[in-house]
Amino acid sequence: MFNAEKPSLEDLPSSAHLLRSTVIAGVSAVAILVTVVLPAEYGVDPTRIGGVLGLTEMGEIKNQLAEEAEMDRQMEAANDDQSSLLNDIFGLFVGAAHAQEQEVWQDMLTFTLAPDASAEIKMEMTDGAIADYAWVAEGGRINFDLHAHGGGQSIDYDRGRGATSGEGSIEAAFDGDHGWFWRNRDSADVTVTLQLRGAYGEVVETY
Amino acid sequence: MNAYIVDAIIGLSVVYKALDNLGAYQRWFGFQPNTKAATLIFGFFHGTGLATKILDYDIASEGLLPNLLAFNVGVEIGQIMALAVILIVMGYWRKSSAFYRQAYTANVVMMSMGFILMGYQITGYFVAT
Repeated sequence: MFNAEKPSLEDLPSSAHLLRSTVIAGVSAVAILVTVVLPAEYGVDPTRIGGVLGLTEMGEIKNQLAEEAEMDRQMEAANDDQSSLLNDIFGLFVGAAHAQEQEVWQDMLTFTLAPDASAEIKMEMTDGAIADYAWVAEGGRINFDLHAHGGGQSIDYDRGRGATSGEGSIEAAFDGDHGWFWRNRDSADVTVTLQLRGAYGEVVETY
Repeated sequence: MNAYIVDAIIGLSVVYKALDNLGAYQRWFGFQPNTKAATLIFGFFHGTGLATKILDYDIASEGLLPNLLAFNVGVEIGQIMALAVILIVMGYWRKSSAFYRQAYTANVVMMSMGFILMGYQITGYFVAT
């Protein structure tokens, strides 16, 4: 614009004009940042305008997803470190809880998560095996990620947030641990009852 | 280098360029900063910004060099294609009688966006780390 060839000084915008434009740019930037960008990106909403526009929830979801991805990553790293012996021990505990079986379901698991607590429930399944599931959450809403990993592979079957029930079936895409990562983002304790049936080996749970 | 700081500097480069286009440095300080030098210096930060994005992809160490080279060739081809179109459009825009008035407003809007990018990244540095 004015920097291509050396313009004569009187062709340039006046100093006051430039200053006013810069101030307008800065003030409007701050206004847009505080009311739109920060609520939508980080859930930071000092004016409460972002909340009215529904942007703050968007930012909170982004924060939550980032946290959960980080948790999941850490948990997977921790699981890889754990010996299979430890998994066997967890398997025994779960095996003992199998007593309360229903007619149609092979396994029923009940666990309670305090606010912000998480759990991981996995079925050992071989490639192509099918398992049915049904679960309900009581006391609040829960976030879940139904996924699998094993042999260096991983897959995401389903995920949801603020859910209170779910049912369906999964077909194992490879040999490995298939199941749920649960996290209670609600403000009260949530009790999840999970029922399972199908072609799977041991059920492994880690809290 | 922290990705938020790099991206904040990229926002600063947008503000810098907007003020440069508006002739603010000539009006305020009586001299025109060397465009090539500014491009080089800010170019380093823009390159670092791209590098932090590639790091997020967790590229396998196997075949890393060919992958990096392919990525950079792709970036350059993309830039040349975009610039070719922009140059044509700018050529026509410059010839229009309202160019100076519209370009002034466009640069003020661009400066505002640069400020927004800076604020977004600086806040991210404190909130997310």
